Amino acid sequence: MATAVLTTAPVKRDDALIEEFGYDDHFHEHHHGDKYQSNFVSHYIFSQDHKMIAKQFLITGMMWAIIGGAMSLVFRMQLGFPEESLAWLQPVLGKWIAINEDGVGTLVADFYYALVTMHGTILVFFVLTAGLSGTFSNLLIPLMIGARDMASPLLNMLSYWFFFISGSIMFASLFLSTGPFAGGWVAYPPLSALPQAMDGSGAGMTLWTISLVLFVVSVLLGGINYITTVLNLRTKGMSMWRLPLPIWAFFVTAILGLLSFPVLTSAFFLLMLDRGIGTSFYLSDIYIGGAALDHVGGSPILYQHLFWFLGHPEVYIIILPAFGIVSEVLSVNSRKPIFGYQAMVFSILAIAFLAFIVWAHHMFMSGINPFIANFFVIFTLIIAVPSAVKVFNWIATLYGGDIRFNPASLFAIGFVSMFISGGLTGIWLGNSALDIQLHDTYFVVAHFHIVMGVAAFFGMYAGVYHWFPKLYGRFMNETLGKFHFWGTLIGAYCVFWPMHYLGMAGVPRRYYSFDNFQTFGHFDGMNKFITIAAIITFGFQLLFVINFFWSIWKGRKLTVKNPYQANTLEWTTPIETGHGNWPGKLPTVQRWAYDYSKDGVDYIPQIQPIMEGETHDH
Amino acid sequence: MTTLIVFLCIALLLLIIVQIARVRDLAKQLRGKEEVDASNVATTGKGLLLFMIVFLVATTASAYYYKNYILGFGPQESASIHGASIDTMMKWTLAVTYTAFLLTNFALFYYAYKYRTRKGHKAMYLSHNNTVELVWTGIPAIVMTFLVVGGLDAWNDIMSDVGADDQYMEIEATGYQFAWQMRYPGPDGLLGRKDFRLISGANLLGQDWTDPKNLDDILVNDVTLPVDQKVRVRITAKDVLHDFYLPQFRVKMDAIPGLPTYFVFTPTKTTKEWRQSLSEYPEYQGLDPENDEGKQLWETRNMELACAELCGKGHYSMARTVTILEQEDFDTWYAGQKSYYLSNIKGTKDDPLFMAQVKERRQEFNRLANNAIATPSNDDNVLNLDYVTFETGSATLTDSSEYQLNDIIGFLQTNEDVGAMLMGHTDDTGDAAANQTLSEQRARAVRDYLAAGGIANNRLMSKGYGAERPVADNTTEEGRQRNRRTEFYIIRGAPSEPQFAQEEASK
Repeated sequence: MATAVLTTAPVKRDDALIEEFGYDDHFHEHHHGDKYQSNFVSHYIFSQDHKMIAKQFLITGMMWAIIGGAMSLVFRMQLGFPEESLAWLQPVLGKWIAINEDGVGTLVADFYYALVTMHGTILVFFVLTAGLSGTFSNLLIPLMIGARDMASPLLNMLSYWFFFISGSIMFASLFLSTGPFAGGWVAYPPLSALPQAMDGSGAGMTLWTISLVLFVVSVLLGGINYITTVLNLRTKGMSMWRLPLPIWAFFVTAILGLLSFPVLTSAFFLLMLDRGIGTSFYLSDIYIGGAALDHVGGSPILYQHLFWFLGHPEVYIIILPAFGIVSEVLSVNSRKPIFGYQAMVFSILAIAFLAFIVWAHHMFMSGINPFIANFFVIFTLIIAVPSAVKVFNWIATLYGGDIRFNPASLFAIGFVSMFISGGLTGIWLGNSALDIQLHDTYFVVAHFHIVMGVAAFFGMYAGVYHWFPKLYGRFMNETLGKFHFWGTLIGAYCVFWPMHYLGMAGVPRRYYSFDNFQTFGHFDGMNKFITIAAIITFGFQLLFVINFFWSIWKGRKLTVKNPYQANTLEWTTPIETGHGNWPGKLPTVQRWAYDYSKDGVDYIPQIQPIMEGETHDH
Repeated sequence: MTTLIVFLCIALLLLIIVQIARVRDLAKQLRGKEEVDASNVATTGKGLLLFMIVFLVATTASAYYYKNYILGFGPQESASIHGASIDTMMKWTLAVTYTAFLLTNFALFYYAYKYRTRKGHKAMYLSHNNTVELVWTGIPAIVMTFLVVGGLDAWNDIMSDVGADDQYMEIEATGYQFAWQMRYPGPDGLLGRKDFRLISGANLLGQDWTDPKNLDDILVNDVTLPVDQKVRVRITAKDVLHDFYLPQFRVKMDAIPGLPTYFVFTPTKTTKEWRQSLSEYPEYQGLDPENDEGKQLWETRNMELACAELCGKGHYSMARTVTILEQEDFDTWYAGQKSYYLSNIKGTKDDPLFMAQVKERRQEFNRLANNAIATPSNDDNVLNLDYVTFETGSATLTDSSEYQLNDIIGFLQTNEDVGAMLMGHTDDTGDAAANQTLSEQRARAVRDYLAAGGIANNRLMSKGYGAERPVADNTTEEGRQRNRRTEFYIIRGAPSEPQFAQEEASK
């Protein structure tokens, strides 16, 4: 019986396997010493090492997450407790807190909308695009495919620094006297095109646009690099069908970004022309501020088409990396292969393809031809099929496993729950007849926060807890991590679940106050509850931040290369992974990444050649 | 101070949690890893199971608790025909997704608990199963097909425009920062042409008054509609995007500057019936705190129009009420509305038709006046000022008099050597002395207007004649109207009474 042979067969140590089967690319003969990381500036600031760049993306993303999250608390406090004084925020927010004769401070409507807009922009682009995909694509692609670094370390460095400049400009816009852009993260013209329409549409919008164009540059530089690296720098034996799922996810994410972000840039350029030199791409028949404008013949709907041509794939740019991370974390911690590896890959590809032909489902109520909506409904609801396949596969991966509970695996389980809850409401919104009622209500807010906000965060947390030892050679504190998980899981559901009821009652989103309407005024208690839940949930995220930075210096040290008994290549590098990742030969790959519990053997690393008598079912 | 204490408490709490976490990690090392891990796994596993139960119960219970606010249920039943099909579709979707939600979340957390790691427990090797994959690809696909077909059927029905033979009423809603303006067609049933370049303080929508269809159009703020009558709302915007949103009717459509959109729907409940339906639910019983007459909440509720597309800092305040009436009540309401043109525009400088007339009158006046001064003093030199009128029984000039008066000022400024005599006349009704005073005051008022317009006082004279000099029969209304008049007598040189008047006086 084959099993008996294998359990007793000595599995060679990693180093020995790499020495025996590895591929000698003469790395050492070309790289004496470490010319990339010789001093402080080239090591920590203008680093070209993918691991350092990953850390830069992660920490910058965390900073932005704290800023963006704090913003949401401020506008939530105004919404949930309009009678309570916010005067204590005046030292920070200055004139944006209006204080009446009774000394009660209120967040002014202009800044309420500015905060809502900035929260959306920051979270979608800076945190969940750069912070998530930027971090893990950089960290994991070279390590998991057996490459020394990215195809172009220089472009990789530039990718981060364009992101940094982009963020700096956005940050600067917060301090404008007219305030940052306040017309919603989608920046629909004419509101975004006309300074007379809103204070934030002046200088604030100019900086917003410049910042995001630079951000697109960052995404494109990163994306080109990820694609090239995955296609060309896979080590010997690493066929596409042996790629770990995170790499498939990052690869497809990069393709999505590369095809869709340029369209956003062109949308912004046309918007800039409308704003700057009086063209009429998006503007027509406008009477504002006591004057009829000269713009004639443009269509605001054109902008919406261009915007959502990015905007929808963007949702998958955010969630696909989380798919990949969660698949890996669930498999490793269940000690089971990911169920239906090929189905997982095909469902990623199917989702990515469909992502490009569903954009107008954001526009059912925007005045497009109702007939056209038919196609977008069909394609949109088809997405439910590969998404369902993924969910079933994740659950099937848990089934029959030997599940270890650590913060990473808990967040991965939480991710699946969030993805289910948020994904199912997509079936409501994608159906145009229901969208008549639900469009632009809190139902939408609940849907996208759960399915791509919270879920993507869960994916990110799973990834950070799981690969923290790879990043810093130490573990994060597990107890704190579990506190963090329970607080976030319960907290996030408390924040966003009630919003479904608001939405089903027809309460519109982006309302500064509900006092003007009888119809929307029933939910004061619920709004208070949501605000309190949001504050508590945010507090739990600070726990993560403390844990993160504390563990960098004080965390339990990693004593073995492969703490999780995982199969993938990143755990074959030295604990202190230097530049070039493997000190000697490059490992070669002999099998897929998911031989867990096969033939009774707990795990078989990818560098382990096929053994005699091994079952061959994959 | 409170803030500081709160912050300190939070900091302290975080510190405590961090310390507990550190202690637990140390304890783990002391007590031996395996022992701690086993209890840890058990606790976490039970935690996941408990969370699943609480979560699924809480979501179900809260949905039940809020059922009276969820559209489609109880008091929130749709108030339009098409809304009912949306509500049905919504309930079906709820049933399908809620089932999937319960089953998958149950499986997820239950398996996580059941297959937690334990001593001597091993994972099974299970890499794929194509049959299973096929099943769980097929089932969602079939369910989706069902939902797509149902949804699109409803959608295409709802969004189709009115047909050629349909009986319907068309109204228009225009969004602007930050309110809605409704426009109803007049008796012709048609809405007139608009152009954003014509918008002004007086012409709120930029209606083109040269289009006769505009002249009877009615502008109102709130929406009033007859029940069971198909209505097509034409939706437009003046400045930025807005969205015409009637939550009770399941109506929502963007309002776009330069690109009119529409929504067709049929209200099925009058406001009265709708309120009656609310009265059955405890949420709407009890006194309305904002009502002084001691009415109950359900009696004061209104259906509403809102904006559902971010349009600037006042986006949240674009509220209008929607009132649905029985057909006869609607007809009464409609009959009481005035055309915006007739009540606000006609005869003002915003009225292009009127301004064209004014121009013609000026030309005619100049022609007659030039003729008059070309000849020496005689009866032809007396011009009747047809368009100078007064408020009834007073010497206050009407607003529309300014055009002819300005024509006179213009004429006198061009012909600096001309003197003008202004003569006031009344009909013979009422007291003769009062008529005399009124005619004098009226002539004086015209003279004062001209003087204020820059005509030197020595070029102007005024005199009232009471009812002494009728030009028509005072026994008919038409004649009396002609007799109430102001005349303008001009000659080169200093102003004087016309010859015939002097003659009469000397008699």
